[in-house]
Amino acid sequence: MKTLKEYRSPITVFDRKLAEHCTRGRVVIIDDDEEILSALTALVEMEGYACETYVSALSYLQMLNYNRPCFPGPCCVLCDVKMPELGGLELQSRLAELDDTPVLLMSGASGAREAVSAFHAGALDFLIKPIDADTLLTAVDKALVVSVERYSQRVRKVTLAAQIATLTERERDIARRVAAGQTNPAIAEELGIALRTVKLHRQRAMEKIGAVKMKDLVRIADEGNL
Amino acid sequence: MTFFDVRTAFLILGLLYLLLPTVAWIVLARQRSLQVALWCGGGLLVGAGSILVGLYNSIPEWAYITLPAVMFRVSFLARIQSLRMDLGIPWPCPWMVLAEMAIFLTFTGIHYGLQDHVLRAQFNSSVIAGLLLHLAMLAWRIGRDEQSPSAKWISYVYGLVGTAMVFRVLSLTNGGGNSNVLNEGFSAQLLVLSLLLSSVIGHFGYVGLALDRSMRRELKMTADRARDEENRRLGAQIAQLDRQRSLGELSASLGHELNQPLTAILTNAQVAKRGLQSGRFDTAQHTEFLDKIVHNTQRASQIIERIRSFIRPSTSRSEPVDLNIIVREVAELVADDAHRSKVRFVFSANTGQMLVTGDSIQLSQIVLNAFRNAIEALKQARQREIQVSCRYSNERIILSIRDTGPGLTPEALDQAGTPFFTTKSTGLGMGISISRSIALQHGGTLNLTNADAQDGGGAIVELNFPALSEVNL
Repeated sequence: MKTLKEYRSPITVFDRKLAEHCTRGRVVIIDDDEEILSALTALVEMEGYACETYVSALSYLQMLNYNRPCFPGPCCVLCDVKMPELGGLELQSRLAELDDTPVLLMSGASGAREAVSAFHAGALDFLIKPIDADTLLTAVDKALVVSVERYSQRVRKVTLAAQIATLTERERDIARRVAAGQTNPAIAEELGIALRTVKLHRQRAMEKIGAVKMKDLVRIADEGNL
Repeated sequence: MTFFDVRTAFLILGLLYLLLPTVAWIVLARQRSLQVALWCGGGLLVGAGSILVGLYNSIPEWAYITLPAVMFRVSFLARIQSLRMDLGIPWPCPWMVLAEMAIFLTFTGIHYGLQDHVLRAQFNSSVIAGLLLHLAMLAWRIGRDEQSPSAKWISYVYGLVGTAMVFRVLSLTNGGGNSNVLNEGFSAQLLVLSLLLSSVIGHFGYVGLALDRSMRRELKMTADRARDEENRRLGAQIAQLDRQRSLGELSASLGHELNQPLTAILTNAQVAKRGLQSGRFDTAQHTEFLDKIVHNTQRASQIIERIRSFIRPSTSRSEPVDLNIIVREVAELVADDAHRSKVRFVFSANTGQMLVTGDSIQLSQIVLNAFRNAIEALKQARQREIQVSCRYSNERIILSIRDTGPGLTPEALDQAGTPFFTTKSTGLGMGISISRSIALQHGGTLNLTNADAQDGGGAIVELNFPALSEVNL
């Protein structure tokens, strides 16, 4: 049996470049017109982003099913609205069920109706073909920023949940009461314990969830289901 | 009061009535019809009868009294029938034969039974006077209806003969006449004179009338031809308008189709520009992007050319057209529409050239109509396919376009192709009728049917055209 070391291939310049591009941002471009696909790819890659291309929304979804990539960097989807089999709007709603990747839609001067339903479904932008390079890149930029924000929010949530999980039952109860605005003596009286004990639990809870001041505690209670 | 010998006059009259109908028959060689034959034949009978009358006493009695009387009556009946046929109100033949037989029996009854020759002459003259006046009336009606002076002249002259006949009947009644027309005085002379006039005017008038008619017929035919030409031109215009309408409806999708290469051109150009500005691209890379721009520009111009070639007003052309190519070009034209409706084209195995003679644009129009109807029909269908096959059979080329839709309702199947019948809320109902008339112009047919239910159903448009003779398969 081979060892893991034998499977390992050396890292090439290309790999390093891809990784670098991925950390800057990854753009998934979907269009059934291959000419447009290659032109958009050239433009996006020129800006130093990593680029994935698909000629149909279905093939992208299939890829997601079988081989979910876990690049840590920001990512956005740029998708044509008018496509056979599965259109951009449908893809957008299916993607929304899977994750929070920002979606940019593009279409050839189609009606306002499409644009409205796209925005309703949470599209970040609706680009009209032919698309000016600056407009496109600005939109991509914005989408990647949104992606980063959503990612860090997600990370925060996960950490917070982990931190909250370390609280004891009593600590959690007291932290919740404090966040709700009760004073220490009131809590002590209600729970029938010493004021000093309340202060101690409160101190420990705030340390565990990384709250320095009172307002941090309130914010965390809001976000993290204390 | 004898100006001339009545017997000679009758003989001359007989000769004239034999000669002039013959002349008329020869002159009207190109216009001959049953009516002309009846008129001329009637004339000949009058001539023969007149000669028999003129041969008075040199032949048996029945041959100069009974026979001429029958001949005169039959001849005028024939002429009456001739004019009535022209007017479109012929008398039924058995009825006429029965009437003549009844008159004949009465005549012989009076002549041989009663031996009353005056009464016999009165009776016979009255009948003939009636026939003549009826003839005059018919001629007058024709003259009025067709505004033909010739017919009016015929009417006047037979009116005159009829009046002379009436005059003879009256003079017989007053006892002033003789049962034998030859022995009579003034009334017989008047009669024979008017008959002489009728022989000349009757035939020349009739020839004039017939020639008038044929001239009018030719004029009408020319007018009809002109109208046909006009109809054809209008048909072409309607077809042209229909094409424009089709394009109008396709324009949204054509716009989208045109937008694709434009998008590619713009993006490629901007990539090239950025590459140039940043100095990151080498010549090979630039050439690549310029090549892409060129390619997409050609793509756009092809789309525009396709639209233009379809919309170009064309006088009907006749050239070898490959139906296989037509079918594929039109499929390209509706590709975007089909794409969006998720309709797939399935072409049967390529069968080489399918050449017919005709106008490629008009043939495209038929195919476009069929494709668009099919796409429309497939909107609700589960399986969405348009199956196109083109085959050669028995010197004909059969193009069949089938969809996998619900097929046509019996009503639609029955009515389709009737102008302004439509099952679509936005339709004009002209598509299939235009297609059908184009197919007819190409010597072909257009058939609408439904496929067998076991076979999946769906509507089939089958076009059948004569194959170009030097077809090479």
